[in-house]
Amino acid sequence: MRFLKQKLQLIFILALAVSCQPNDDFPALQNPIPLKPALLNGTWTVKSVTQFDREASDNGFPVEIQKRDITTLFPFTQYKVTFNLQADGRPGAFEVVPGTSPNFLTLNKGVWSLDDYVFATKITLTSPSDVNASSFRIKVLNSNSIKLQVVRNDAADNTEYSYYEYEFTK
Amino acid sequence: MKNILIFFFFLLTVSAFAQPVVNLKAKPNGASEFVSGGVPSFSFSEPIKLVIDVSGVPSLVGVEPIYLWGFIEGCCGSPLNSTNDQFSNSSDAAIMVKVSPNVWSYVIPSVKSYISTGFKSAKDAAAKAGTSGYGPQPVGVTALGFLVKNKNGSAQSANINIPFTGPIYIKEEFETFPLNSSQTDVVTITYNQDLEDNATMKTQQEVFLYATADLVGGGNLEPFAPAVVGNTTSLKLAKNGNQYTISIIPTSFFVVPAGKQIDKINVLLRSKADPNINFGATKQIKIVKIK
Repeated sequence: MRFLKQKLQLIFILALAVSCQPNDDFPALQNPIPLKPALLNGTWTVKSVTQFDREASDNGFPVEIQKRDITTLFPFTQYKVTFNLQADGRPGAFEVVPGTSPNFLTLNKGVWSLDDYVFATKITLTSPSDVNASSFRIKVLNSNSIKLQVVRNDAADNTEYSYYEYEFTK
Repeated sequence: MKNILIFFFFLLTVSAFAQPVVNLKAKPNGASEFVSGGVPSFSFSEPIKLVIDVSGVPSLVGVEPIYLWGFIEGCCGSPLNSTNDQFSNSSDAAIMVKVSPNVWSYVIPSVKSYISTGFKSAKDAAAKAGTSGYGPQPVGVTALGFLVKNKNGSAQSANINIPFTGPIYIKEEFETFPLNSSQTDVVTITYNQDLEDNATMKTQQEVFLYATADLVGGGNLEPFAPAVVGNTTSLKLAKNGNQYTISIIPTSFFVVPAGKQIDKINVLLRSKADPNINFGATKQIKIVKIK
């Protein structure tokens, strides 16, 4: 009886070991795929620009007082930004081509980075030749449409008083 | 003819400085008495003129000058009151204007600027008041508080509170968007002609922008002289019903020299042909520096 019990235990352990073998139906796990950089890869052209007044929204003023569509006031639709990837899929170089559109960023060329590859909220733009850095706040990130915000902070008290929301399409 | 012109300019001046006026009679203790019209409505960011009769406060009768001491009860005092909030040594910035014997006035640029630059909205001030040691304030209710006194505080009135229920948007003849702007922002100027008091300006079908910029550290920029404004298409405001708008980016509009910073923009909206037909007074747009 004791011998039978040991035999059953051995069979059970063998069965477990067999069940743990790699399954050919699924690929082996590798490094996480940087999905957000891949979504941003490419050249984006401005479709619309909306300007927001932070104080008006904080005060609960009517919606038409809080924001304005300024797309047609200046040639914003000429504004293009290209996000390139490195060979391994991570963020690489960027280039802004504003045309005759106002450019609210301080840099036109350099490298870009994300604060998080999965839950990205911010794109930081830097250039080795410029100590300044610019950034976009990410509002919407889809394969063919993105909304990025350029935030304005008052130097006197470092509070956000306004921001611009750029809607880009590929 | 001369008298008509003088009267015309008088009307322009009066309309340019129109603002809510609070008339009241201060008391040595208890609630003060609103003399006319009760409590006017006003927003967190517009000027208010206080006219206060101190003849009911025996210790202040005949005292000159009279000082204003402003606060939001349970929250904070006005930075203009004194240095280091010393009740016994009011600052000159708080001296009121004598209107007549025992009647004094003071124009507060706005509750926001008068009380503290640290509050972005009345909601912020109310929240601060609610957390102070003076006890909770009713939700959403804030009051502009003040009293009148002599310089060393040995004589004073009772507290006077004018309640308001938070920031209120009030459409004005001249508006800017956003409320704060830097010299590289898009600044939209709006002229609501339906609120125009001047009969001639109210009928203008074409409105033009005349603007100059004052630079930090001195200097002034005038990209378009008054003589050419009416013939410059880019200075014409876009008309949409009774509302006229124009949007500029200050650095481009004024061609700001490298390294220079605009301090404020001076705006005069006017008719096409005659610079003297305008909306009454030059308006200023304060330009902030961005981080």
